[in-house]
Amino acid sequence: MSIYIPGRVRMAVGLSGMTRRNFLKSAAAVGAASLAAPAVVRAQSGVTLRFLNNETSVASQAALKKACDDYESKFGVKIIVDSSPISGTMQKVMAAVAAGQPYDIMTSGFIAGILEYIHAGAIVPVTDLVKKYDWGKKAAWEYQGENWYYPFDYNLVVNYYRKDLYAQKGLKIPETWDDFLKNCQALTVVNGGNVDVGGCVIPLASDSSTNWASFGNMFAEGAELFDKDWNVVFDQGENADRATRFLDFYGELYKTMPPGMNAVSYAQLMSLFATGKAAHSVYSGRLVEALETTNPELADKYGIFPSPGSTGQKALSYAFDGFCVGKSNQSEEAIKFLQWFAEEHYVDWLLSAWMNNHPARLDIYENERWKSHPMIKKHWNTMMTMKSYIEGDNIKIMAIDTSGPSIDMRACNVFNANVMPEMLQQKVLGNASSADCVAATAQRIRSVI
Amino acid sequence: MKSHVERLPVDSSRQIPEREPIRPRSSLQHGSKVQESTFWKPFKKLSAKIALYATVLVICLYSLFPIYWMIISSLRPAERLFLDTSLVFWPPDLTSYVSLFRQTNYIVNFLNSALMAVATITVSLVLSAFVAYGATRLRFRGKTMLVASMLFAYMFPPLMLAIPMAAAFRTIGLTDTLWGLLIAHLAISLPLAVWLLWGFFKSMPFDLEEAAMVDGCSQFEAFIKVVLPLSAPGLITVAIFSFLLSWADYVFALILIMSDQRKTLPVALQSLLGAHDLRWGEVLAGASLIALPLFVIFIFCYRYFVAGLSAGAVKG
Amino acid sequence: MVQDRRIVALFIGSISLLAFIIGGPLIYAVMLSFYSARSFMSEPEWVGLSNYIKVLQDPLFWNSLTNGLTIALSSIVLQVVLGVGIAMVLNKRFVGQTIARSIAILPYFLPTVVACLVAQWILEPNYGLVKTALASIGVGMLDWSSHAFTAKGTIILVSVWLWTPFVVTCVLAGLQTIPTQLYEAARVDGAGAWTQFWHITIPGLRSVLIVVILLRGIWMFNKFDLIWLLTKGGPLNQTETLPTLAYRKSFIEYNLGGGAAVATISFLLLSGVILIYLRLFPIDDAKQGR
Repeated sequence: MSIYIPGRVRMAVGLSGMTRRNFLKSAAAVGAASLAAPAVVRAQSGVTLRFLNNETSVASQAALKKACDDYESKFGVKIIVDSSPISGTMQKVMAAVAAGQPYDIMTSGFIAGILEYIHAGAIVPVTDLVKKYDWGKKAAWEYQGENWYYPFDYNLVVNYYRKDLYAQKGLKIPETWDDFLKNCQALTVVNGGNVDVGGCVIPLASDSSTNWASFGNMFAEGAELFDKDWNVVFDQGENADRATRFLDFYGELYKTMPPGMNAVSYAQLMSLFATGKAAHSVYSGRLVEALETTNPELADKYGIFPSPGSTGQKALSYAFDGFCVGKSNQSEEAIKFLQWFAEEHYVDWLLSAWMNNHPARLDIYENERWKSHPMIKKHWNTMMTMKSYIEGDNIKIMAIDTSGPSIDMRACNVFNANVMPEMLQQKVLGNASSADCVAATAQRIRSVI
Repeated sequence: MKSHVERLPVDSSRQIPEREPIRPRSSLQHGSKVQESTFWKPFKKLSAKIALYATVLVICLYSLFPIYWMIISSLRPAERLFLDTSLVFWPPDLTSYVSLFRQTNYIVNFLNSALMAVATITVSLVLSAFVAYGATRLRFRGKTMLVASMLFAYMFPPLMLAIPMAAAFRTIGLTDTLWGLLIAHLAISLPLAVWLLWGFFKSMPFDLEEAAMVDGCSQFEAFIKVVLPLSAPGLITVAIFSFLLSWADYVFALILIMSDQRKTLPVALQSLLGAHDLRWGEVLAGASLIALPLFVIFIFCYRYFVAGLSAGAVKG
Repeated sequence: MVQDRRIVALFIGSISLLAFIIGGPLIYAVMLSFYSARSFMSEPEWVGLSNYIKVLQDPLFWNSLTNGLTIALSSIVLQVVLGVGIAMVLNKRFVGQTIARSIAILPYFLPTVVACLVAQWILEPNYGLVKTALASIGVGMLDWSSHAFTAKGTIILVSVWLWTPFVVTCVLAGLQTIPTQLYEAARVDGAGAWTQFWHITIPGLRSVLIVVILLRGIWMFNKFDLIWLLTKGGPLNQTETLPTLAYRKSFIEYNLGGGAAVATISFLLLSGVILIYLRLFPIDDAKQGR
């Protein structure tokens, strides 16, 4: 490759050799010094635990830091906290294990992730710790006879609606799909060919947020992925009809959704509702926090209801958040810390995301400090409604990654491969018929399990 | 961003001024038009000028506006961020910046990025200078092949180089260290650096070194004292490219770095977006702060950058 | 000429280091494609060509290949056409030329992550600037991320914005080397602007353009971050390209062997194309050879 200098440019630059050499020399020195810094940190004596946290809100990070500092000053164990947004946590945990530097403790948002960790031999059970407490429905789930994490919240996916808009249009809380669809249609504002205010947002992007938040209506309808013997029955008999009906319903709802749904994930589900760009949204309690911080006016005007089925059945999707303990020669130290944390800082931790951390441990509901938090007090009704959802038996609590007769890798594979989100995309972006989508999805499920 | 489509027709109108000197000549042959042509000439010149400046303005707007919009958006208070689309905003509101510094390790990330960039520049300058000089001045077979093979380093998806690196770093204890990331950044900056400098050294006549060597220098000294200073534009171009590749790298940092304390800016910035809450204000503030140092460097180095490019970089 | 030992030693040292840093991972990655590794943890198992067979039978692979070619080619054509156009304008004499040139090159200095964020911010379909501007004149905005055509278009648009300045810079540099006498002579001969452009400028830029297209071609074909950050390969894999497919296989399906196979095939394809390209457009100096 010819790269030649025309004579005239060659001398054009007046940067003296001396200056440049000095610059390079000092730059190299600075570089070497700072590159060496991490090594020094690692060489410190004593135990150092590494904690991967996906609760990245300011308050939660601050609460965790306070707890870690406290622990270090009391027990001399240093805890380094790394953070990762929820969407990349699993990759990060696995990469850390692969790199030979597993985390000692990590937050985990999905059972699908935890089962991957178990199969990779990345975590140890925390059964003894979990057995000490009284847990709400499903929270103390076991796999291979052990408890693998210490949950702190339910993340029930409830439907949010705008009380003010409902009053304006004289709408009622929907009991069936038809009601819901009519409400969404009534609240949709179309302007210049665009949906300006969406009737609802129910995500369809290929990520965990869709797996988590979009299938409440399908669960209510009773479309099952597996039968008792782990046969895929999604495309068979009644299940196929239910699933097809659900997709038809979703297709209609989609027409009322704001544009850009393909890029909607956790954050957008909240911001669309909080900025008034959607009249309904699905989310956990965190949406209430978002309203309080970004649009306090709406914080008095929202209500929640469970996802309806076509004829009035009810269901809610969920995904516990909890702590896992990594498998290493420090596991015992990590469990010790977790135990201490669960006694000393648990309430502070929960209150750092007061509404999202809808407690899975039942004694918390009696905890005075928790109850007297001003925001818990203010939104007490919402909190109690959510509590009632996990108490009664008339509302099904389900999730994609816990489908099937027991907690099992097979359902988790369906979750991790984003099979269900892609079904929604096939329906509304690929314009496939609902029946075809269901058949193709069942086929995909068979291939990924 | 839309405007580039509209630009195409404008490009051809740009030709107008060049047409000027030719028109009168051809009209001279048709004598009758001489009068008219001289009469219109100033107007045509003027309209050509206007067309030129208008085109330049459009080019500048197209290049600058998205950046301007990023900065101005980052200066809006959070509650108006989504609702306000005014083109000018005053007074600026620094809440997003304050909150960015409060909730992220921005300064640490910045220092990491800066450190990576400086180290990448330094090492790739040194190594590429030796390789490129050797490839032009030493006698051995397949020199052109050697330099051409540099290109092949870019043909493998960089992402897939990161995985083996991660595995290799595990065995030599460089996992999650900036040393490891430096190696990765060198892998992407060195081939281009060698390539650029090779062009420089190759076009530099032997006479200069020979003269120095006649005066008693060794070839090594001649290289250091004569060749390198004369290659300053090339070295600066290489430095700038190395800086850009390192400063902007997202892929390698994403895979090779885990701890918050060692994250570089692009990865830290992107992790703001994947979180539970949408922090466009902070994200845009962070983006502006990544861009800022680049612009400062750009202002100082632009002249050398272009000089270097014209001198060597992409000459056929 | 006597070869200085220090020069030889430093050359050999540097080149070995370079070969080690770049060649090592490359060879390892190619080897990985012959193994099956279900996750980062498990011991890899030799499976011969089975990863390749699986990849080649996967319609998604061919889909990704065509997507990648469409995106890379359209982007390069636009970058080059626009780049030459802008450079021609900026090459004229006018007040503020230096400032205008700096501004035109500015986007190239933005990290991809930043450019993607800015694009997403401006094109946000609910509150973005484009949406608001269009709404104010009563026009609806396309939901760009939900349609294959607009999603590809957006990727191309952002890449053109970001990397055209590279072409501009190189072409500007190239324009300096075309002797002005050529234009004067052409004018004397009565050649029009178009003729001058076609018969003097373009041949004068030939060698620059060959290198620019080569470099941009390689970089565009292997572009991962831009596409991943903008669309993640969606909607329905319509913007999936070979690099994003390799990432998907490795980091989402934990199929490292499959990911490496995709990368290796992509590498071979690109190398083949580049070799043909260099045969068609030899870069002058290979002939001069030194």
